[in-house]
Amino acid sequence: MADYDVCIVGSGAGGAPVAKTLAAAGYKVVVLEKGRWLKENQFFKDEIAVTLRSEYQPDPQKEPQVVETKSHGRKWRRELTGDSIWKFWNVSLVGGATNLMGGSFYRLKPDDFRLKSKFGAIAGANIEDWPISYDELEPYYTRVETEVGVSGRVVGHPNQDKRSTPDFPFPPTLEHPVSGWIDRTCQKNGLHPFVVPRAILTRNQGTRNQCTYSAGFCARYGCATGAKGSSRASFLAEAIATGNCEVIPNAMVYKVESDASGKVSSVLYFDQNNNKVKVTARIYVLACQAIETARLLLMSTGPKHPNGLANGNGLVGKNLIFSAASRGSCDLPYGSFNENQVAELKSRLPFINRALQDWYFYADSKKNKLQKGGTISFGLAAPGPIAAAQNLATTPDGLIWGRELKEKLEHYFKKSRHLHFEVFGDWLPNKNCFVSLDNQKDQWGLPVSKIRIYRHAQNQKVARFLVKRGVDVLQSLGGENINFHDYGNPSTNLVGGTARFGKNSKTSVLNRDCRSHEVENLYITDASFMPTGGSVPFTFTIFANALRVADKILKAM
Amino acid sequence: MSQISLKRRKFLILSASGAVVGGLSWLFFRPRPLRCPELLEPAPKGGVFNRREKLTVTATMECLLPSEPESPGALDVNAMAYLEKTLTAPQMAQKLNDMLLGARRLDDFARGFGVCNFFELQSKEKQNQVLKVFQRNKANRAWMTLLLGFSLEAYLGDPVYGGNPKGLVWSWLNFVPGFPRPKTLGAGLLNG
Repeated sequence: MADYDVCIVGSGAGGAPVAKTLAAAGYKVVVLEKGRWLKENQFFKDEIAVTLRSEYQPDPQKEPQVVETKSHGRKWRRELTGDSIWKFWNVSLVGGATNLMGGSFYRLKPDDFRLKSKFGAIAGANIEDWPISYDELEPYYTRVETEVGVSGRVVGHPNQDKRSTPDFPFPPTLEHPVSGWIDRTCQKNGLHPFVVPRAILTRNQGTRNQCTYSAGFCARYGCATGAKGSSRASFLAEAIATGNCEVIPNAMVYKVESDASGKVSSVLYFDQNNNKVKVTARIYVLACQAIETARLLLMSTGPKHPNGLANGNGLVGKNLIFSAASRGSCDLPYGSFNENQVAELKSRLPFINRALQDWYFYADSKKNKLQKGGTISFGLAAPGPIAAAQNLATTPDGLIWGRELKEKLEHYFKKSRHLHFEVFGDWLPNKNCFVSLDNQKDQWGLPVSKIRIYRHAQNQKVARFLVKRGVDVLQSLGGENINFHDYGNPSTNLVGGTARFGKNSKTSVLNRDCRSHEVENLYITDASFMPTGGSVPFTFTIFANALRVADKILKAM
Repeated sequence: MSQISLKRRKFLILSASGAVVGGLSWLFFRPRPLRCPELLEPAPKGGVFNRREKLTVTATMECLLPSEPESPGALDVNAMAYLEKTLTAPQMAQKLNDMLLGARRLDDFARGFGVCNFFELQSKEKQNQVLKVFQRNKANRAWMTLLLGFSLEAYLGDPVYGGNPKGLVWSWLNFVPGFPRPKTLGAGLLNG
């Protein structure tokens, strides 16, 4: 007899909704999480530990990853991520990266589910339609809004999400007065700014308290009140409360074993004392984040899976996607505004919550053909003072120090505010962007992930188009010292695609229920399932899809 | 705890000298007039710098973030104590290596200006002039950036880490920290 009904590997946005659904239905669930289990009162706004020393992430010396990049037709260059600018480790904690997310929760649009049939194939890209439609996922987006807690206000814009409810279950957060500036400036220019939905409670719910607006230390920091909709504070807490869910932290799963028939038979993990432990269940769910899920599958060879579990068609790890990210920023110096405006700028409220999706689809000027664009999201600069000061000191012309640096610090902190925008674009999946196993070993002697990154040229074209529009807004606001980068680079915190779902078992790893085509008791519910990512952060969609798949698993039990 | 042995210090001195001779000799405008003793002294117990290294690094920090009547500097935020404590962590072994190497290069570089060690340059103005030339070399600039990075952590980090006493720099800059503030070092994770 199996130890549990369901074994879930990973406790983030993909794993926790499944845990809650199955536990609430009376099934015995275990969640194996590699990281530690921090409670609310252990999250502090500690810039040194959290962002500079990355103490929630694995130590890259003990758990390296390898990245391969290529530029300008040269050979592939391999480096350890510890030595590189690329850091693909997400948070290793119960609740995963949702503990530290900014919680901007945008839905995908209906056409995001059918990019290939709507806009056509793009040479050099492996775009495929999703095997489900927006209408099938919509009820689950609605459930996440209530169960995780999403605050916002529907204002209507040309690319407004199709909704089954008129508005969000929680009112929007308090906003910095600059939000109003953005509204007026954009509307004057014929644009349609809207309120960004946030997975942040604006009133108490159950044991979770509403946001206390902690001086802006939201994104990249844990939440001490429970307001942030982490999977830990929401679904996992509810799963545990049923009495049917056990969470085991410090459990490094290193193999998913399979039997002679090809079904998964057990999961093996190292506990915190490096003892090997075996767990058995009827159903297995992987949700380790797309890179590590692919790695685990590739390591999990078996009698029927010589190339890795569920990898009969060789597609595990392939079609790795990110969000194609770009950004811009500006200063709003007090000296350039009147007294009333300065008083507004000095507000300590941390959230701007404004975005533009006027160009979520736009006509390419050369081909005069509608194509996929993206989202421009505005916010205040990250609040950490050390990183801000380090950035001020390092300029293209060299290091600044002494009186000159101190003058810059004074101006930055006392005489201006700083606005930024992020651009989210579709990362086009392609044959040169994938995850495989490297010969480098980690502290457990396991082969590490090798992440090959190749950016399709279209990513940057879209990035340039959108960044220019973002810069236009900053200029209209009176922003000075405008900086931007428009490369459409991979976002290291938004990763997906490595076990895409689809109707055809020859061209996909999972079926429409996110169950392996080959392995009847294996499901994958992190972002690995996504054939394309949309031009928004993935987390809301991961949560929603995990709820959808949980219902499918429930039916199959 | 990370410490550098005498044998390792000797290796670093040779490495630094090679870098100076190989990469920077053109910056020396006069022949070396001094005979500077190569004293290999270890760091005291609990520290990571020996006496001379500490004086040179401290002098550099005081140039990077000077103490002024209307605003604090590295001296006011216990930056050296913070740096030494930070560099004792085992995972900082490489950065400690880099720090000692760079300090040695700076002392060697200062010999072109008539002193055996950087901290012996008579004025802050002179020290800054030397640093301006010193950092034209990429490796030296990287070292200064590393040192400035740590100095800014002491300057603007939470006082629980030993720098920025009572939020002195935060007060000067009207900065409001997030809450809750850390009560212990290392996000509560260092000790499990």
